[in-house]
Amino acid sequence: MVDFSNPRASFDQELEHLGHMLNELSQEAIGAYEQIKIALQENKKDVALDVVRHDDTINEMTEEINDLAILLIARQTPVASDLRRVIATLRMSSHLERVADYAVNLAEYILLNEEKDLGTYRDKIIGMIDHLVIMVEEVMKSYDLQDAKMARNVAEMDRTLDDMYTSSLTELFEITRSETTHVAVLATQTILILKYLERAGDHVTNIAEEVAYYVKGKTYEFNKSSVKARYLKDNQ
Amino acid sequence: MAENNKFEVENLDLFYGEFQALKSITMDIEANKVTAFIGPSGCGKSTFLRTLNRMNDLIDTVRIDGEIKLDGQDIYKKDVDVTDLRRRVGMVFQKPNPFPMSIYDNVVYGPRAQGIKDKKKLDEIAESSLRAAALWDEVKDKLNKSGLALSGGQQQRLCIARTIAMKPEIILMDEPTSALDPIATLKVEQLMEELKKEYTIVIVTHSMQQAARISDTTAFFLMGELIEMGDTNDIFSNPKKQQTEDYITGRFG
Repeated sequence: MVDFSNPRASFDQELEHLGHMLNELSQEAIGAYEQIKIALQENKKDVALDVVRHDDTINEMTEEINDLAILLIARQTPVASDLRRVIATLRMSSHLERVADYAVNLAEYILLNEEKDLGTYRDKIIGMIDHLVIMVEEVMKSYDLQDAKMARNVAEMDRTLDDMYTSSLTELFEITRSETTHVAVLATQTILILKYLERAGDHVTNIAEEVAYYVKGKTYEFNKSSVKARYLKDNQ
Repeated sequence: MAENNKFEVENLDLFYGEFQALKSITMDIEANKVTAFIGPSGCGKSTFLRTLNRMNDLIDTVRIDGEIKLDGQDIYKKDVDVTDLRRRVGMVFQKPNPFPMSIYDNVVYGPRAQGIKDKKKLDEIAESSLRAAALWDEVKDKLNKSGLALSGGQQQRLCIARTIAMKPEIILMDEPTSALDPIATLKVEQLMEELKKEYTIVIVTHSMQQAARISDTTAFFLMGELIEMGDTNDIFSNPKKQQTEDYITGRFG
């Protein structure tokens, strides 16, 4: 028996499948950061190597989302919230891929350096990773629930990552002036690692903006960095 | 009256006997724009289109309340010359309906009926109307051939030329491409883009993609009511009413 109660039932299934693929991609990104944590905590370079190797899979998943989104647009000509959902999902997937790329950058650092090199910053980095993972989980929840307010809250969480990054800068810049080249290099690398995590947080904020766009049909800019906000305030 | 409005409709009710087909429709139709009416079968969109040149007058049981103003004048007032109204507000139908006569005679049928006899004048009207309907180049060497010998798409453009020959201000189109193949459809759509520079176009269409492609303004009807009307970009990207969203996304249960 054909059920006519929803003439778009098969399209709905495909849209749901697209959503599942995005969720899987987010799980992969989270998995990469969990592995980075293990590699840092237990000094396991082989785990870091896994993260680097697994990056191809993440890229392939992103491409699959891209292909399905293009097919859905071509074959189903979605409009209104359907179209926004497809477009938002497409853009979210590329932000998630970037988030995962930063995990690869972290893995590469771990492969090239020793555990002790990070010194007291190791715990700070782990703290940032924990916070980032929660942000990814929350933003995906907001996508599944189509909850723009929840997405906005995720963007607020990004301030913590920003603060964790900026609060370390003064001290680290000081160390880069050290006369010992090796120490200066390590401090610079630490700045980069903190910056990767801060940037990953920005991408999660972008994802939150996509959720809000999909739900509300308007473009939002949650991601006003504190530097930009200060600039705008000073130049009013 | 807002300067750019061609039609201003206020609280229009229409009854077929006891059945109310249109419920308190209020809308403005802007000059030199394409306005599309969409909605499921039986929603009242074609009925409403026909009130704009009083085609419903021909049905005995129809009763109309409310007001439709064309350039500020009520078209339902007693002293309105309906023939003149229909000259000003031309109509193109779903199925191309050329008369069983030559292409030339089809186009000049209206002007002749109005008493124009001068051959030179009629030739001018024929050429300019066929050019405006983007048909001239295809038929200029066979103007004496039967209009019925043309392809479906050409026949529809001939009907548009016949409408244009009357020098209307508004062209109403009731699903003008539903009987045409995709290429002929796109030609008529291209033509509409061109025609709106001179005329105001109101089109009823079942093709949502067509409404999205060609119209400036879209009005969504449901069960005799105007649910939502607005800029076509807004209607198709972020409609305000849930019923509109359900209809255009195809989830009309």
